[in-house]
Amino acid sequence: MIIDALQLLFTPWNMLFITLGVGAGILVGALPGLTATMAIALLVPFTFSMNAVHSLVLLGGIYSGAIYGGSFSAILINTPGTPSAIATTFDGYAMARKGESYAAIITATIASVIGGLIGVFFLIFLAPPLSRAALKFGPPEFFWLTVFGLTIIATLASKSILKGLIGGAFGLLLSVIGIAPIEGSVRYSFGSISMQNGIALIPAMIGLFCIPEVIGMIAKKDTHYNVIPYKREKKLIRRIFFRLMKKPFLLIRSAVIGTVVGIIPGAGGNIAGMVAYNEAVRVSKFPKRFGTGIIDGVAASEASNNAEVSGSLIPMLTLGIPGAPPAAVLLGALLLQGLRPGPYLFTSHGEITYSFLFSLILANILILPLGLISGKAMSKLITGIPVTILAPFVFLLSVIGSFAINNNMADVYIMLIFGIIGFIGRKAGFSAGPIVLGLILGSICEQGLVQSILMGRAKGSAIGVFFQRPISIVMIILTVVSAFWPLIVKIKNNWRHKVEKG
Amino acid sequence: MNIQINRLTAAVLLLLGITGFVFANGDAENAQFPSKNITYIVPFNPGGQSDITAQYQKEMLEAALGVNVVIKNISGAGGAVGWSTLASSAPDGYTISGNNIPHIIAQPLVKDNPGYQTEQLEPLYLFQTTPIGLTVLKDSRWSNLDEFISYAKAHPGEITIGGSGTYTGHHIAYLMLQQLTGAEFTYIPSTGAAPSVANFLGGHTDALFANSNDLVTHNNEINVLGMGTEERFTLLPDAPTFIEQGIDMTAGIDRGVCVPQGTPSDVIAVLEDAFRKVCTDPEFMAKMEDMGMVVQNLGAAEYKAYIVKTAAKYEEILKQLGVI
Amino acid sequence: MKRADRISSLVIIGISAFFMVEAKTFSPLSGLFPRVAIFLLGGLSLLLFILTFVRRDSGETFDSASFRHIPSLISLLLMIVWGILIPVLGFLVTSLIFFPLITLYLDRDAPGKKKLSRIAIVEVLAITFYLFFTQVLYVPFPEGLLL
Repeated sequence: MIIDALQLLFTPWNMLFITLGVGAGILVGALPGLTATMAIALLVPFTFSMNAVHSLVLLGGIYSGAIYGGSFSAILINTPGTPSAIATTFDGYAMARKGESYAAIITATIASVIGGLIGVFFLIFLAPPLSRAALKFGPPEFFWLTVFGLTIIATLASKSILKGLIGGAFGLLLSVIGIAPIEGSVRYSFGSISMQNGIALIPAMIGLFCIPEVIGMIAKKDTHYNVIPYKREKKLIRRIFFRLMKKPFLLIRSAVIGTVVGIIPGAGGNIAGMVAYNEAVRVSKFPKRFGTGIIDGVAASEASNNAEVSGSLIPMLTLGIPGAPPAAVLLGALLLQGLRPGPYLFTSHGEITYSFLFSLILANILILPLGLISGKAMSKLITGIPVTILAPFVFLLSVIGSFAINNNMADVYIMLIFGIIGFIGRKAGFSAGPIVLGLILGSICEQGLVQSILMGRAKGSAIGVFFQRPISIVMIILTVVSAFWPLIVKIKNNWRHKVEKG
Repeated sequence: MNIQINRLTAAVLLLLGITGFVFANGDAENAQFPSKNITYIVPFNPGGQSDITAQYQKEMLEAALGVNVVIKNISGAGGAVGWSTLASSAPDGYTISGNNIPHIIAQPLVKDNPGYQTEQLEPLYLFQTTPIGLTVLKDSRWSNLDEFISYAKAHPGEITIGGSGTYTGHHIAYLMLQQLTGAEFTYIPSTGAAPSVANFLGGHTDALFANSNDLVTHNNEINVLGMGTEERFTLLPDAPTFIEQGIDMTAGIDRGVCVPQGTPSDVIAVLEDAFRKVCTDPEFMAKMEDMGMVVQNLGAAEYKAYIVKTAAKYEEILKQLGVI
Repeated sequence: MKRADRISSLVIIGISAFFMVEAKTFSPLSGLFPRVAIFLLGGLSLLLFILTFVRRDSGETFDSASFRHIPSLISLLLMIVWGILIPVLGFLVTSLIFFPLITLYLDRDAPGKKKLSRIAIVEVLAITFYLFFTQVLYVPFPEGLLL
């Protein structure tokens, strides 16, 4: 069957589709506001008339390319092109400001390729047992997972942890707007039907990250954006590659985190990058350097988010339960072709499925040449276009991106409002990352909380349900460790100091 | 500076003039319906059942109607955003939308600000039902519906049943089950079918109300206690129906299409015809059944009558439960 | 930064109070999470407020030196008006007006020839993207009175 799968895969059409998919994906991912989910959704109708392998190969290429492409705008204009690239802005943009944007792009490319390949490895060899394990995550575990996620704020808010926490709490509160996940009651809609939908992530994200950047472009007296005399560095690619290879665990660990986060259905692949970034900071010997513009930060985030692609496909293919929004749309494409997720997909339809999985290997490898070329082109473009055109142009893209999500003008207004909030917030010392994190995690947290309470009440104890299950306990320990890590580090340093003085 | 502004103004005015001219000419009062693109609103996310069905229908619809059919996903508020958009669209037949029962009945009844009223969505055609069934895992302590209900009566509220959403087909099935049997359970809603299935498979809820296609997908791991169909469901022949076990209830999600209230009847007739052609096509019907759905074919008038009847039934139930 | 911190913390406490008023009307289960979030938000902001009296000022403020206030505000205003007018005039027309408007405003001091070429580039960009999204990808843009 493997031979059949390979034969199905290596046809000229498929090669074309993979290349097309990855290329188009990178382009879509790079544009702020256009996400992988959207790109796949826009193309699904076209795949209806294609055969199964072609359509899956194309969409898989788009998915991989788009998640990688998000790093471009994250690095170049401090706006995540897709939510998965939020963590890439931290060090990526800092590198761009130092004139190292091309180095950042190279790092992102290499990391994405390696991370993506590791993810595909898990997908091909360990899909069924991994998805079974993921099912063990129930409402209490999801609750603790989000609490753990919120401790990441300590890492994200470089300047003031207190302000970061405030931002996070604000994001949590904002996620309440709309229909309550449990009782269906409408909260904070102020009478508007669009507000019933809540605050969509993408418009808020674009507003918070992008608009202040655009205003910043205008405010600074430079004619061009972020231009620093281009230091001709020879063999940059080779150097970065070897630097990354010296710390293999950075990439491997980030990819594993990405795969795991992607597998857990509903955990939101969007946070894979941030969790990996957080862990990279925690175990690093030089945590203070993160955020100033080092390749480790970019590598952690990008390796993780490309691994998350495969992670999200694991429960989707084995159980029909998508691990992330793009996987949900891919599921639709699968069903359109008459294929149903489950064991049959790997047995009677095995050649199609394995062709698809192998195509992901090729897609990830293709990111290397396509990414480096388009990345260089894009960074030259961004620094080459005069600010007077660039600024309103990015704004135009923001409007398009916000609108295209739900075909709803309300999202554009949300984007504008959050742009103002982001602008004022930035001046007051509040960064965008924690707010977005709160927004993402809020609904998952609330669902976990309320569902657990309902479960607990049914079984006798509403509180007990949170502390009685093994996986929950593990998550609680992780959360506590993560939350108090800065303190532990301080104590360790003081102790070491005493010993040295000793 | 002034010359620049004047030149700019002139250019803009010229542009506006041209645009207006083109637009005005392109929109002459037209002869036959349909003569331009039709927008097919799907009030849910891409990849879901409603969306996939629409994708299947699209090509054949375009052949039957002779114009492009553009599928527009407007999701949110459990479909309410899409339906309120339809309700405020021009009733000229160029905007249609998928609609779901019980959603379009339950939402305006229960919500203070639904954004639309059931009557504002003029029914066009009903083409499928996804039956809902109650299921437990194969190794569960209850092997049939009787044991399940007896346990519940002895331990009220202890059994947890998962489902998708509040005041949706699943939730209403749950409420009806409680009412008809007198047993008390605890409902654990998730934000969609997939999460509720994941929750159930992981053992976090004792039972699940699920759509037929999910039941079919996981057939070898579950034991269906009752199906909400009138007769045994073809794809799950071993699953007993509620009715045959003495509980008079059917449960399912019906899907059809609708147009804004006030659309002229000849336009409705053309659309209805097109949908009938598409939905009675044997290949289409086979695909629906393959996905685990029950094919229906109700034209506009029958569909409307069905909605009125079902609305009365739901209103009764919800009143009895003190919800409205 | 101290003054800014005080203002922001008070504003946020105000926002929390506003959300709390609404939250009182929610049912227990629906109101649980909002209340927790509000308490966190309000409590942390209060902490921030108190800390401004305790700690020494770090001295960071707006770097007003290189910050051109007026052009930023005007551009921001233009962008907002752009957004608001889209459903009124239609996406394409509004963009064709405002995109060059902002570019020209920022380029006030440039020679005339450059301005015309800028307008041309900008209009082409706007039209290209509009066509690409509506014709190729079938993403319908808001159509107001015009396009």
